[in-house]
Amino acid sequence: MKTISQNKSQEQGSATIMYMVMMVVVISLIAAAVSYLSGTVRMEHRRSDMLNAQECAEGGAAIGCNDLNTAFTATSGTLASNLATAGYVLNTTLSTAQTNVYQRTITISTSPPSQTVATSQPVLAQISLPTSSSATSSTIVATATVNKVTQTSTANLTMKWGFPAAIISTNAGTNETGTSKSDAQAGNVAIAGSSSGTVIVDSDGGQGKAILANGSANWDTATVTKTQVSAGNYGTANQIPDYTAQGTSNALFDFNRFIAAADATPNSLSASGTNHFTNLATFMQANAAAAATPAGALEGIIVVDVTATSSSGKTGDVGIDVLANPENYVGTSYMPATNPQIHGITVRGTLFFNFGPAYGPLDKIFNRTPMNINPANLSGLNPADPTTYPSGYPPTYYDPTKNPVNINITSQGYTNFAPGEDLPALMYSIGTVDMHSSVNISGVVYTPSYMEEENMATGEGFKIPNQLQYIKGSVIVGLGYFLSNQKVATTIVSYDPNTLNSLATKGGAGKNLKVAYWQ
Amino acid sequence: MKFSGHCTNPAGRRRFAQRSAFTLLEVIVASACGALVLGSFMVFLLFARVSLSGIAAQAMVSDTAGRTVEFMQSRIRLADYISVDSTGNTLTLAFDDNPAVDSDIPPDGNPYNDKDHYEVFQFNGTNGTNSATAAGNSLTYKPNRALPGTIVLVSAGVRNLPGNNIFANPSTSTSTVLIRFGIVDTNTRDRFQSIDIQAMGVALNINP
Repeated sequence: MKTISQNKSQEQGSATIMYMVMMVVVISLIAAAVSYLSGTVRMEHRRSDMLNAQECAEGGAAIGCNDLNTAFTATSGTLASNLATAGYVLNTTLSTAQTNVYQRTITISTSPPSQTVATSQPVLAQISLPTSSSATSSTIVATATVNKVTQTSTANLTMKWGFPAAIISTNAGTNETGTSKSDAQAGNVAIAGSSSGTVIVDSDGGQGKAILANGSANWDTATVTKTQVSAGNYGTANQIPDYTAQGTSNALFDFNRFIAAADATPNSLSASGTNHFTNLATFMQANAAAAATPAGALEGIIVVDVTATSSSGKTGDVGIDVLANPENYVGTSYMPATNPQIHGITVRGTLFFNFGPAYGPLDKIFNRTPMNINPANLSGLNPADPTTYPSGYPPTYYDPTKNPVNINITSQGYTNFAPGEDLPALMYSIGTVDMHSSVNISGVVYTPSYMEEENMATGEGFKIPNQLQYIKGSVIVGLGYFLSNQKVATTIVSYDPNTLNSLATKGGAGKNLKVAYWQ
Repeated sequence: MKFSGHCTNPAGRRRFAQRSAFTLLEVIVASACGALVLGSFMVFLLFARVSLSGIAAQAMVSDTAGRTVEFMQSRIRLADYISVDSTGNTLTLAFDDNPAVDSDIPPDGNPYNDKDHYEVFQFNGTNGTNSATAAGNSLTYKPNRALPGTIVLVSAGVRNLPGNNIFANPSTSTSTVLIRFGIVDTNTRDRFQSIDIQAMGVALNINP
């Protein structure tokens, strides 16, 4: 059999078409695979960029946190100058009257395990700081762009008191193990209780420490939880900076700023017309007069100069004797007309005893007059139950013109106190206010000097039975603290973070940064 | 096989006609060769398809597993509360929608740790490592527990890793979650492509 080809050219065309079809199929398969592969690679690349950008942004935010912490806790320079030293510049476009924005470009070196050569990734870190003198919060926004992918990480920070404790003693102290007055005067914390009465140092349910001391801390017959005591910290990594060293950048408060505020606060009950009293006598008279007003108390930042060392004589200050022996002045202009054994000294705000140069750390004035500063309502207090410990802080001002936030001291070269800033309840400079009578104080009690608080109950002054000495806040001392109760009486020192988290310290002293939350 | 050229000479055309036909043997051999080529090509296509399918499936499950874990980590990172149920199949996260407002009842004084809305990652199906039963297992995400709407993260093939739950809270930490799961491609023709993945999610907004 023979087959005859009728058209050879058609046969050749069929083969070519077949070949083309096969090629199209193969090329289509390859194209589809390449397309899928390139799409996947592109997506994976973008995902990789996103992850890199995210990680760089978070790293940049963490570096920004560290930069701000370093600037914030530095013991020299201002926060702004310290940030400038770290390479941050003020962004005037983003800054407002309420917020300053500082920014810096951080170069992060990235070297994945698969690479031997590190690559550099720029990250823009922007720190937003409130313009107030005692900022309590800050925001750090870090932005990183890897190829075409931009990611942002935001860290919101709080600037809070960094040494939470009911009693804070910054003196180096000694290795004493006793609880005598002399042990305290050596720069230690000495708590002398007795079986007659009750002494409690409370950490507010573990919110802070009961005692935080550079020197030793000892107690006898007192309720102090040992695990809530941190003592002997001097020379260790846990040493508390000496925030009581006056005249240094470490000083906790700028006393002159408080004096400026008192000078600028009007007070018709004062001989000077302001909240600044030049002696104890005029202060006690104004305090007695205030008790009879609708406010019922002196309000605002009160400064009392204590320059005289005697209560008599030409240069004497009878107020020293009024404070020491109030029972002798009942019915006079120095004592409240009604219930002086209760009202005693009553202040809403801050009371600052400004000792003169004649006083040394252990030179004291006795205070046997009941002391009420931001007094708490103690009607429901049960000493055995710390959850019933009330607070009178922050004070509610009857007369808003005396509220420190409404006092302008910029003309005197100081930054005004801002709403939300925590102000101390009781302060005194170098000298000692020896508190023997009842105490009802909510807020920080501070002195760079030595402090004595002895519950004398029926033994002295108004001879108050079951006398209560109650401090809700924090006691911060520079040269030792003696807390004693040998009577049928109760003494409580209880920590309250709300009284000092936003403390109006000098240049942010005593505060540290903490990341509150990330966004 | 030889293809001759075209002849215009009549005598030559006769010779050409005699010589231009294929023998049966030639046709059979040609057909066999063609069938062999076509068969080889079909086999190539078949194996290429399986291979491409396997590669694509592997790429897909790897990509899905990676994206899913990264997404979970990104949500865990910003959560202020983490809860894993007793079966280890449900991960619940809480978020503060307004850090300026303390919406706790009663207020706890901290405005940025509230639980304003909950998000849920949920394993659905039968726990186990068996690839055959994994076909009906999925992993879903609910952006707001209180509202309708669920997003499917992995539509099928989710399975446990041997001896582990999908989600677990390390006993030493309240701010970390261990995530362990596998995804198996249940198409038997591309030889069960699968991936096992383990990762840890860390919540930056939960204070230890």
